[in-house]
Order: sequence, then structure tokens, then C-alpha cells
Amino acid sequence: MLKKELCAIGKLYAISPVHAGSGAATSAVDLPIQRERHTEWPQIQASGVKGALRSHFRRFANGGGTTLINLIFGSDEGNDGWKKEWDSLPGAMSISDARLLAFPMRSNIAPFVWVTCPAVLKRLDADLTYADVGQNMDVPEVRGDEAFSIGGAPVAAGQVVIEDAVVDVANHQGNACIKTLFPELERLILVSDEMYKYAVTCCTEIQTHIKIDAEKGTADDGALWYQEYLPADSLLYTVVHYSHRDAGESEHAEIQRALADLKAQTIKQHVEEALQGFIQIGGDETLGKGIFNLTWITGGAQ
Amino acid sequence: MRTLGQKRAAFALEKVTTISCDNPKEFKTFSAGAPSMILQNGFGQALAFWYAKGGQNQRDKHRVLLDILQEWLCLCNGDVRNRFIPPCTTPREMVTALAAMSQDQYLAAQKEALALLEWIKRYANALLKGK
Repeated sequence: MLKKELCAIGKLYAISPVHAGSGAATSAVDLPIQRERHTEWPQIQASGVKGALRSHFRRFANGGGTTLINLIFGSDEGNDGWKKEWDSLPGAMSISDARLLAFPMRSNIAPFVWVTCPAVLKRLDADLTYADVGQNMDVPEVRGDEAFSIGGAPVAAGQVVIEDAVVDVANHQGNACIKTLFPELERLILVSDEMYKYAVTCCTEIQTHIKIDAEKGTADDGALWYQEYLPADSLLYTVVHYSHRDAGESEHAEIQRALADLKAQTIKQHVEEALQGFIQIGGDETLGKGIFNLTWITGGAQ
Repeated sequence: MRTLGQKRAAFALEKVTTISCDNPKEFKTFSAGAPSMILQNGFGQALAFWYAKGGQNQRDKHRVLLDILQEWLCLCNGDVRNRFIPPCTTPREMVTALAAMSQDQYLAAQKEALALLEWIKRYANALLKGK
């Protein structure tokens, strides 16, 4: 079992629309995005996040060599040259599903507002506690059409239109934790759990795709599909923890040497140096989709 | 007791099987894009657009879909007790009712319409091929 030693929160700010596909087609659209089963909130499954981070690490980590990537993310013969005669090893970091914290919506307030809800903030609070980030979250109750402005820049009190719905924003109650940890969320309003559900289920981006018949120059018969995206400017986060490696984990001298020095702190440094800035997650890479800006909030030690 | 999903499916299957539309193949394509149209434009906007397109021609694809939605959203029959919109009999009454209802009710009606349309498009895709 992984020993949780060092924690961090990876902030994923979407620069472009993101399609982390669920593979299912039994939905209002042909290619829906991944969602949590019980809340219907959009998410990116941990395996997808981990795969994207691994792939980014493979391309951009300097001087680590292939052994290091295997030790951090888990051994992989096919992609990262782990030798067959070596026993397989688990990774030294654990990555959670990427959870949606703030969802951008078109609004009468230019250019748009982010919305979040009490249930999301309570979960964030639990995740911050788990990652030992040491912030206390004060989550007000919100009912019906009520809303509070909780981001860094105050949203003027009064009615705010979000897509088809209207909410009544009360006076600015900037949330200290959000302002410190997520300063990019300026015009953030806290809406009720029900309103948030409407936002994330009915106001995601839908793009129509077709294939052109090269000869006729018109849409190919049967090649018309509707694809769902999480809009650009969505903010997600993933909880990560690191554990140290022990030379005793392997019987092979070469691996023992590599493992010997690998403290959790070293692994964390390797990861946070290589994995930052722009990173691609999810489908449609060649259409410029799935670009995130990744930054880290350092958590505590356990 | 039937699940809500079963009730939607049975209703959708019956409607698609007995469809009377000028061009069933066109209805198939149209119903496939209908949920996306609601998501992209909003519920009221999409319905108003279909109402404008379909008009009084009861065999027009837009009108056929509007009629199905209107019937389902207020259907009370056997174990089906739908009150997403007030009881009404025409698309015109439906769009009028939608304009008058509260925000919560409106958003609930939109979610239900989307859930039914999933079944409509699925069965239209299965049954209206080649017609």
C-alpha cells in the first residue's frame, strides 16, 4: 500500500474546451463527457489524468531517464522500457479524479461568470483537509434563486442571468480560502446545489461535427454527430499524494540503486518541475482540445 | 411498479412505431439533433423554433415532435403521473404554459423533455431506417 507522505493539489484550468469522453452513446448527445455517477457533475477519471500526466512527463522531464518514470508512475514494459525480468512495481504517486470546482456560464455580466455550489465547496473542504492544505472553508447555505458573490472581484448585488436562469446575488461575501487558493476565479458566484446541477448538465458546450465527402464537397451521409465538451475556463482540481520508495522493493541491483535515493520529497520535486504549465488531457488533441494550465498548491506532510 | 425510464421508453416506442410524418427518414435525422438543439439554444427557444417551423401541418417533423413532447409532459394515464406542465392538448398551449411557469418548473420540464428525447432518437434510429 502507498504510504501517504506528501500531498499537493493540482489545479487544472481549461484553456480550450475539453472532451474527456465516457465512451457511452446513450445520452442526449452522441459523445458525452465523463460524469460522476451520483451527482452528474462532470469529472475526468483519475486514470485519464494519470495517463496524461505520465505522457507529459515522458516528453518533458529532463534527465530523469526511463527508470524514473517507471518508479514514479508504475512499471510499464510496453511504453517505458521496463524490463521483463524485473518484477512489476506500483507507482509512488496517487492521483485522484479531477473534480470540477467552478463552471463558466454565459451571463449578462461580461464576459461570463463562474458558478459553484455549497456541495462542491464542502467537498473541496474535505479534499483540502485530506491534502493538509490548512484552510478552513466557511460554506454558507444557499436556497432557490439565491446566490452569493464569493470570488476575488465583487459581482454587484442584484439579478444575474446565467444562461436561461436568473439568480439573485446578495452582497459580496468574498471567501478567504477561494481568494487565496484560486485567485483566477474572479467573478465566482455561489448558487444553490439545484441551480449548479442545471448549469453543469444543461449548459455544457455541444459541438456539431460532420465529415465532408471530398468529391461532392458536402456532408457525408450518416457522418453527423454531436459531441459534448467541458467549456474553456472550467476549473478542476486533482488531489495528489507522494510516498517514498524503498530499495527493498526489488531484488534486482539496478532497480535497488534507483530506488535507494527516492524520497517522497524528491519525487514531488521531479513531478512538479516536469508537470506544470500547458498540458493536454482528453480527446481531440489534433483539434486543439483538452489544453489545461496546470499549477500546484503545495499541501502538507503526513 | 415500473421505473420512470421504462415508462419513457414504452411511450417513446409507441410514438415512434405509430408515427405519421411526411418523411420518417427526415424525422430520424431531426430527432437525433433535437436534444443538442435544446442544449445549445435553451428549451423555450428550441420549442418556439420548432413551433415556427412546424406550424399547423400536423405531419411536419417539427410538429410531430412537439406533439409528442406536449403529450408526455402532462400525461396522466395508468401509472404515469406527469405534471411537468399543466394539462394541455396543443403545442401552443404548451409554449404558453412554459412561458408562465416558475424557473424550477421550467428547468424540470427541460430535463424531462431531454430524457424522453433520448428514447425518441434511439427508437427513431432503430425503426425508421430505410423508410
